[in-house]
Amino acid sequence: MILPTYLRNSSPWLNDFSRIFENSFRQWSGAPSGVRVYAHEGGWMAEVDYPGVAKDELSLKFEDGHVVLEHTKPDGQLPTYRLPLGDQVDPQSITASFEHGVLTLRLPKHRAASKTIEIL
Amino acid sequence: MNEENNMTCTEASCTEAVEDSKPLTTAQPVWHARKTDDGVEVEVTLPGVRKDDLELKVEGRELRLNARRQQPSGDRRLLVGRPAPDNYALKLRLGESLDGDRLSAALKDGLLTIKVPLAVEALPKTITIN
Repeated sequence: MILPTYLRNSSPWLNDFSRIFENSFRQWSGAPSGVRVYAHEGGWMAEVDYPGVAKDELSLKFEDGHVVLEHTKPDGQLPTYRLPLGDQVDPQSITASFEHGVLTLRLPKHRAASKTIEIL
Repeated sequence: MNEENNMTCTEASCTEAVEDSKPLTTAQPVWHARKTDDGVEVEVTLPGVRKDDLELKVEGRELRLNARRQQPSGDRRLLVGRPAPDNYALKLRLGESLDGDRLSAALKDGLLTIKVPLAVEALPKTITIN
């Protein structure tokens, strides 16, 4: 069977997808020091250092394709951080934990990445 | 354990560094000190550090801090930001008016608070006038 190159080998354009997603992380404006985003096989992980901050001073929500992180102190609110997520993150599976002053956000990939699609 | 080696890495973490062939990084933590009525209060930011991984020593007039940061395990690649240090190390000199023997420290949510009281000789005294 004769197929164009981009269909014979799907990996180049799949790599492009992940590059676009990673670029949106790189363009994340206002990333403070003590913020790290990692990629691993199952998805991504974001870590934010919050030493001396109590868990109930932090709030997280998912809205319009962004994870929104708010830090409210008794004497006022600090800047809000918006982390843009690509289409590859499954918003329903996002989990977060806070331990020893470090907030860890787990952003798993959509399971649909390996789903078989039925042709009707 | 050799005292000087202990400043940069513990015996256990150095062994790990050889296995992973990745050098361990040590950073000076962000800290500040303020004067209180009865001494000095030092706050040191140590995110990701558990109480068991923190060592605080007073030797003579020197306060030494060594801590190991918890790092998540597994294969991962950093996309944004700078890698977190593996260890934190800090040396502070205590003033003559402070009493290092009566120092107290508490670690909560990655923030260490050290209270160093004034030496008895340095405490304000009211002199009775005869």
